[in-house]
Amino acid sequence: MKTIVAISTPIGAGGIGIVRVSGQDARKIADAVFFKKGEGVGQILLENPLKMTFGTFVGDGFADKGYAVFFPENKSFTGEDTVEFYLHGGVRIMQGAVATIISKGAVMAEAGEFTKRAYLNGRMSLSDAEGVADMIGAESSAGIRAAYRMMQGGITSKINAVMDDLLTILATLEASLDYPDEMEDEIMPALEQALPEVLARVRALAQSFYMGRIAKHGMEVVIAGEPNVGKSSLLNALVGENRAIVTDIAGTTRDTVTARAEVGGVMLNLTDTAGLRDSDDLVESIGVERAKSALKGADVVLYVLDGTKDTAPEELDTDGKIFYVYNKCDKAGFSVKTHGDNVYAVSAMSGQGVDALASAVASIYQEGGVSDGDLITSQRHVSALKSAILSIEHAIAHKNDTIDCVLIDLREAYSSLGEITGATATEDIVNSIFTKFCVGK
Amino acid sequence: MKTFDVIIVGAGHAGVESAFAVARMRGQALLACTDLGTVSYMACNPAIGGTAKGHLVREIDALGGQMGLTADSSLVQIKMLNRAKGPAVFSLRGQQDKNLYHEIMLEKIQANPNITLVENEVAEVVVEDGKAVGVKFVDGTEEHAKAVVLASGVYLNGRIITGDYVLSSGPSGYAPANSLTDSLVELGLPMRRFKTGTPARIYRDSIDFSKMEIQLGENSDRFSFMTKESVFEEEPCYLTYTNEQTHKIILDNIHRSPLYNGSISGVGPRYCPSIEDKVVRFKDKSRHQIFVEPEGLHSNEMYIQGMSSSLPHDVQEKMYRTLPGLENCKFAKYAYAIEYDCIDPLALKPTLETKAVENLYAAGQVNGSSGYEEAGAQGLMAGVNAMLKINGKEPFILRRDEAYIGVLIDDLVTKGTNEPYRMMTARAEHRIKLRQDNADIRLTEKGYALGIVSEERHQALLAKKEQMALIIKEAKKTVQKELAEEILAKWDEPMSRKTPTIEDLMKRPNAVASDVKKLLSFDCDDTALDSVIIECRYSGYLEKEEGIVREQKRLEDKLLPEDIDYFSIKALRIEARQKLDKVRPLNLGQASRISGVSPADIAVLIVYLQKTNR
Repeated sequence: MKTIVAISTPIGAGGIGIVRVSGQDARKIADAVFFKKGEGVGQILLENPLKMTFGTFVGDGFADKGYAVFFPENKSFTGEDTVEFYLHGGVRIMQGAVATIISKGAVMAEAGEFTKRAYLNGRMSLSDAEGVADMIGAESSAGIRAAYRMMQGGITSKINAVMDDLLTILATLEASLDYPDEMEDEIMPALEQALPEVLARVRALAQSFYMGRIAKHGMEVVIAGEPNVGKSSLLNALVGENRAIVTDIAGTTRDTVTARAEVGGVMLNLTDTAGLRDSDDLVESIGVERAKSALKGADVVLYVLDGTKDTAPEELDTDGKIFYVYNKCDKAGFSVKTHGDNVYAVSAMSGQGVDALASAVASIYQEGGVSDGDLITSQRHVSALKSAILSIEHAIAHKNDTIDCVLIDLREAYSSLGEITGATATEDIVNSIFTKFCVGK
Repeated sequence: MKTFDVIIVGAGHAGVESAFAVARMRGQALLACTDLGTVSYMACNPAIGGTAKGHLVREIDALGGQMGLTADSSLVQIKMLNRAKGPAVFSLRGQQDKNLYHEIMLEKIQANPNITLVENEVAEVVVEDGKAVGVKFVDGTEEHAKAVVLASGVYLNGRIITGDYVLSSGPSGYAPANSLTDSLVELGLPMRRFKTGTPARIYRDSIDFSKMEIQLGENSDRFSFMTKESVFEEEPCYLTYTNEQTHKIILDNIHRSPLYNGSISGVGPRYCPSIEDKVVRFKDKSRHQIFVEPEGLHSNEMYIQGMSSSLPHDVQEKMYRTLPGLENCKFAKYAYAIEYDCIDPLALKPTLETKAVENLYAAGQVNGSSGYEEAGAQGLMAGVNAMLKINGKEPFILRRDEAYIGVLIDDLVTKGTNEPYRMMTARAEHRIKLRQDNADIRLTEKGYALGIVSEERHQALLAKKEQMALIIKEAKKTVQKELAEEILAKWDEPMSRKTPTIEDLMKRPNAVASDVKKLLSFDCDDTALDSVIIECRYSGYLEKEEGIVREQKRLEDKLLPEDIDYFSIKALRIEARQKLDKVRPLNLGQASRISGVSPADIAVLIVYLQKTNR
């Protein structure tokens, strides 16, 4: 496989940037571009594996002082010889370093290729690999935390605990089939008590996917309300820039406008929508339709109302959590018409109350009652959990079928969960039978 | 001098099925044993079948084997286990007259013109150019053949142990075979030591059965698809229990157990624990079930199932006499543990040919399995494959979704085993397909094509299939409303809104075959009807299983080249490289079942195969 190179840190952000080179020629290339004062060319990194060596990166048309580290194939992330350069993080230096390394024989890495190689070289399990992939794609600091915790086995240990209990049920039922004289009394408790408990726990794990999605992709926040109540102004206030056009004319926003803001480590995907009203204007009415569809996919709806007017909030068609935001709190005649812990008074113009609102929205993520480590972030994990749920539900619904059939569903459930952790049903069941039960003659 | 096609070493349950298979394929078999008394000798319990093992017997039978027929002819009791737990796990278990079983087999072997039975101990496998070409006996004589099947059971360097008394011996006092192991080691076969055990045999007239629960059979089904009518005299079994006193005697004397004082090195089976093992490992269990089974019709010896032990004789006497009914029992034979040499089955191909020596096959306990039925199944497969090989034909390998035999052999040669391997229904992931009622449908035609199934058996299968087709056709008919109501009421099932068809009725959980039978316009065969009812009732699950099998088959169809150098595939983890090199799987499906080979490794192999196929 070819030696690959890529910039491993966000370009242009941060004082230090990392360029990573992986493959059989990594060290040879490094020897050709990185020099240590007072030492000859080559051998420097080989003699000092896993140590930071200070020196000069000599690129095509530039030179930069920095560090290099050599990871031999058995100690590296990818399972191949890897060299990492820690240089100054400017765009010119970073891209210049990559261009230089490519000129020495490396190729640009494709997205996720380091991870893919780590996986193919057996450096990580499927579940680890997805954690790393998620980390690469993490879009906010909360996402990074969840991805990191998953690599540390947060998810795996949660799933393992549920699987252990499912395994006990399986072993009990299986033992009753292979040892018909010995296990009769254990069958019903396993089916009627233990199984529903396991189901509840698998469901809880699947539900944490909701939180995992927010960690990974951000929270969908839709700003809605009647025309000219200050929705676009609120978007601009949340983002901190003039993203949406604001005028006094009702119906200015005709299409949905999106922007992103990071609050308390959570990425908010903000959508400003056309004011909800019946309109004869074709463009505006399409905008209203789009607003309605945005509401349906919202995690949070900021329902903006003009606090200087006497309008009561209407019912919105959304599954998201609704915040009632009374705007124009700095104006005369302002009052809040409804009360509750989801009612906020703000001034989009002056910024008053906007931070408090933003924090409240972001805090929903923590209120889910799930800590970062428990987050299910991968779609594959969710579908594995969902099929396990379906299998267990089917087993419970058909528990009056014969046990050989009930076990088909339960084994399937165990295998589905095993897709996440790599466990295999048959082997585990047989071992468990002998560990847990005194059977055999 | 007669020339042989296959020499079979050992005439136990594996060796005998092997010889019959060779003979049916018109090969000349030399069957060598250390003592004619060991032919098909049931060294442990006087029973054939049981969970999963009953399936194996049916499969051996469906492939034209002898075990089921002989078992049917030597019954003293028979019962279908797991009746309430579903058709996938219905399992036949028969109590046998073990002497009669041995006698029938001996007679059939001696009457077979293609089998030569000799009493002579094999000392060496003779190999030329890496191929097995014969055997050398302890007396120095040799016999030659095109292939050799090892079926040495527990006789290789057998040692019987009770307490600190160790005796070089095979089971039940038969002589051990102490020479052959060296020859096998020299041939490069990885040998190891396993252990198993058996309980005491107690004189019937010293037992007070009135203190035990009587256990009767049900005399409905038979093992063989070919047994139509059979009459036998039933013998009851009895159930008694251990108690606190039994456990105390064991625990007080545990230091005298060879298993606990370290004088046994062999690995014993977890599913067949000695009574001292059960008492030590499951301290909170206040009693253990003990079944008392006759060794044969009117036999004066009773087999005390559940009381296997390697404690010294004096302790055995004390502990046995704590059981209700055994207070004054007299010992005919003491319980013992037996250690023996066997081959690591990872050294075998899925055909049961050894990887080290061409045309050398192995079957039964020498492969690390346990049980008469497991042995018989392997013996049949080894015999068939030896014949196919020497005739230059494609091997006969059963997949895991085709037969318990497939599961058994795949487990042994793919996963290996660290203890004597016992067949369990839990090991068969496609259990719902591998039922005992359809073993003939699954296998008989394959056997017929191989030449191991008689014309008579083949015709019987075709007749059954025809019956099933007729029943399925007629089952589409609607049942007259009043009649349907009457039947459903009888079954305690609600009437459907629409007038049901016969098939609808068959699908009801409480359906009774004899009632369904009356709805048909012709007098159908009971076994055919049973199979149709099962297939109808479980059609949902069966379809689902088919889907899984198809999915798995995609991996099974991806063949791995025989000469693949796993160590050169650096993307594989080191453990995976070693395991794959050791097992040398035939295909990706088998590779995926090797412990230590992860899904990531399989992904690597898929990539590798795509690369090399390009």
